[in-house]
Amino acid sequence: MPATAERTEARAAWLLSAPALLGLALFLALPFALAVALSFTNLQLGSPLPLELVGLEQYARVLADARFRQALGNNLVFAAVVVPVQTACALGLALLLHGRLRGRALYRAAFFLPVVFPLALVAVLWVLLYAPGPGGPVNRALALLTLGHWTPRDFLHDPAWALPAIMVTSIWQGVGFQMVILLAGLQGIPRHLYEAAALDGAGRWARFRHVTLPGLRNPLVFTALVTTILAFRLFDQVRIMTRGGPAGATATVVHEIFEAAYVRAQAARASAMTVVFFLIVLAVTLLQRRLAAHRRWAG
Amino acid sequence: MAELRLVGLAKRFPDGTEALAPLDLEVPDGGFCVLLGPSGCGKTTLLRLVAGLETPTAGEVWIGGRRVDSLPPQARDVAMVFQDYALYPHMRVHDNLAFPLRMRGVPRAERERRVREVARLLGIEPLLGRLPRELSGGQRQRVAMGRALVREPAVFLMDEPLSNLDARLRVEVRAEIAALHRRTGGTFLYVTHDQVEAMTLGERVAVLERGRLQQLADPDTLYARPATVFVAGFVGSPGMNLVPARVRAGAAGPEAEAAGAPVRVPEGQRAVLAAHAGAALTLGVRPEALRAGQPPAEAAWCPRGRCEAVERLGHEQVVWVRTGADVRLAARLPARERIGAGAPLVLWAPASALYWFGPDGRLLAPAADAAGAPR
Amino acid sequence: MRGRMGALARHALLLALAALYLYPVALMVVGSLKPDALVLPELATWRGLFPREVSLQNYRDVFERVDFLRFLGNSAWIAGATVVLGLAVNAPAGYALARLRWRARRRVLAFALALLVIPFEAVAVPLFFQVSWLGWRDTYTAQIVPFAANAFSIYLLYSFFLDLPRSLEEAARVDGAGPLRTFLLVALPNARPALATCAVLTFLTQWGSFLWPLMVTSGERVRPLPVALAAFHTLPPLAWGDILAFAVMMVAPVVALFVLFQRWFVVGAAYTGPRSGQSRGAAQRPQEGRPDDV
Repeated sequence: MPATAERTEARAAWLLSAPALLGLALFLALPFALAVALSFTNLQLGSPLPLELVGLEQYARVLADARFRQALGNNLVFAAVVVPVQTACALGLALLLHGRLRGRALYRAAFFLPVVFPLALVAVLWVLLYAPGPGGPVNRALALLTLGHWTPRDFLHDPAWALPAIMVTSIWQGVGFQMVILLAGLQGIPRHLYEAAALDGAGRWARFRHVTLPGLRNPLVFTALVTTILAFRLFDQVRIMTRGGPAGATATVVHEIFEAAYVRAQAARASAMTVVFFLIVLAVTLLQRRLAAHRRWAG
Repeated sequence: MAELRLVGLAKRFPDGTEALAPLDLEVPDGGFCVLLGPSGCGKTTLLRLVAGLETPTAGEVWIGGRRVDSLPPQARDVAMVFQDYALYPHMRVHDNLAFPLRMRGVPRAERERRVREVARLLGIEPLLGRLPRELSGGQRQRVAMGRALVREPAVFLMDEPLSNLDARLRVEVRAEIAALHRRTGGTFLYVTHDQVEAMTLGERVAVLERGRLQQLADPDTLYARPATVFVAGFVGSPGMNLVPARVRAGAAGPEAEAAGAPVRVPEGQRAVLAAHAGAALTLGVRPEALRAGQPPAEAAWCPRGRCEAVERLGHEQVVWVRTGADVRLAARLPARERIGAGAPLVLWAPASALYWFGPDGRLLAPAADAAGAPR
Repeated sequence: MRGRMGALARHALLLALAALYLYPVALMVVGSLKPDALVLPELATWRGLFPREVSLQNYRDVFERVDFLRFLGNSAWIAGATVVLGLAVNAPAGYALARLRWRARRRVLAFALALLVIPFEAVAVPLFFQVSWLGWRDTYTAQIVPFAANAFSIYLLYSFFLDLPRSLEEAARVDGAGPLRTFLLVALPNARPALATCAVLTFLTQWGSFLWPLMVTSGERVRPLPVALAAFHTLPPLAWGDILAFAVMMVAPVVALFVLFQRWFVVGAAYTGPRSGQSRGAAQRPQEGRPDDV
């Protein structure tokens, strides 16, 4: 049946979505496809060698590259420390802010504030906080905490301390975001569940364990995995605070991609790294979907 | 104003459910037709097909001699009052009322004049500057009607417009809608699941069940000569008692038995019943036709049972009786007859009050009482 | 009594944590007002927070040493234009996907949702080649146009439009508005919360963007604040007072927006939260048991 109404509507739909679809296709789908395509070539900008397909050679090189492996390892360590610590801190803050509390909005704003800061600024600010010598605030604080047993050091130039220093910076900047989501999650747990648990004789800990944590499952899964993805996307702080140094101690995958593409002009190599990076993020995303979906089966 | 004609209109959803079986319906210019049925019967789908909010799988919609079923809603010249009113939350009452005119390019001065006129007609002039969220339910309902009226469309569509009002307001607005219809002379198609609304408002009532048109008739006919057991049970409060009955060919004509009690088949229905001897029929008796107490000579059917529950309504009472054959009957009795729950009871019906329905659920023979009623 | 003490203890703990948490921010603000020479030496002393004297000298120095207003203007233009352009393209797309009946709807939705998993860093390098090929290096265009269409914004607006009462738009259609006017006059004005959330998220992302402008800008002409700060931070002579003044001026606009529109920032964060964790968008949500496409 010729349906004029449907045709008008379909035409309107295309008209309304065309600009966005065009944008997504040109600036997201196309470059992504380009990355995959380039990763199978030998493209090196400014190189006299003819362009040819080299199959998986770039991947082999990337995975054999000690620097890239170090960067990948740094990302893994970073994620392994930052995700649990930041999640625990955020959960603690959210629990502190939950329930009857005067001035909650103010506290929440205070902990959320660094989330709106540009990462570049956070990085520069923490370069100052990590100032070497006894006059640096972090050195000074550690000296106070250890009753003077702390030897001041230059965190950002110390291979052992540079990565942890960046971790602390990232946690400081990001914890507020997680806190807000977890707080919203806490507020979404029906009050009567707590009342029922209390009537059933559950104590504080039992209520936390059997009402709060299960109720927060989805927000926790979400925030933990978003933080994991952010851990793999780490770049701004590294670029500004250490440039990946000292001796690659803070190199990250994205930093390596940037160096390969931008500094060394290795287009194909950087593309292969990009694809590896994407696969990691994809795996984390799928894991999240899986864990979030798991709940539907359970509940 | 125009007449509305539906020809073989049908809707099947992509998942295969048949929302509406092919249906013909005609509402004359200035007519008021009510679509009545339980929820999920397809009445709202039918209304939305007329509005153009759904696309029919088959059939035609004609408004004032123009075929519109392939036109988008905005080209159909219909106005609709939604169940939840659908007032534009970001617009003041005035702008809500003016919106349909604006969309049709009515000049500003004319727009203002008509908005004022409708506001006066509905008594909402003082509300023109308010936002929908600042109105009471009844006021919102009025604005929704105003938005439909302001344009003088070919057909008015109303989707359960009273269902969100409280009982008292509902009666009030119901009368107002009837008055508006008289005053405007518009063609109305009105959806409701409330039979009182349907009976009081409709010149013609279309009863739908599971996407099928059961009967299209004026309210009196609907009550007096229900075409199917569904209509019989749905119209009336409570609906008609419907009792499985067996009919045998006897020596002196057909003999019937229902709820464990013999039925004396009235003269006028013998021929029809004789033709269905041996079949499983349904005997219908309206609750208001049943009497309690010692049956007189003219009683045609006297089921006995135990009173299960009594609903006292002040001027009368509805008595629920469970018979020995495990059939539940309702009887509307005068309030003065005191009947206690659990008490044994004999009911009886006069011969002139018996309806017979065939095995397919269609009416075989109406009650003699209904004979004078229009067909 | 115990409840009262509990509340006090909680406030004491929270105040201490908040103070510790905001200490770096306070250092930044105070340091920007102190004479350059005193910033580092007094940093970890109580003078770090309570200076002997304050002045705006560092701010004057920033303006003298670099073209701060240019960077500020660049950032404002890039972020503002991306927000406006983003709303202009993403809101219609979200609406079409949520509400209009068209054959390709499901496939287009799946396409947009699939792109959600691609982080920007995964396309930065090829996009850089693309932009170079287009001759967009060192332009505003390169920093605005690729970021207008955003899969996440589309998803967010799509979810919002799905939740909007359908009868509103149907009323508009019956009242005589076509699909376009229904969108513009009825759906869009009622989508303000989602629009605000998208605007805030886009603005924050663009205001803080670093990697991309680092790649596509080489001069100062179109350089935005984060890259300018990174450059200023290594610009000799090292003067921490000036750097902090630069930093304060860089966050002031976002903090002002944050204070004014705190609700949308927080809603924005919460919105990105649990909902997107589920594959809700892919699931069909019939209204009143009625399938929503034909």
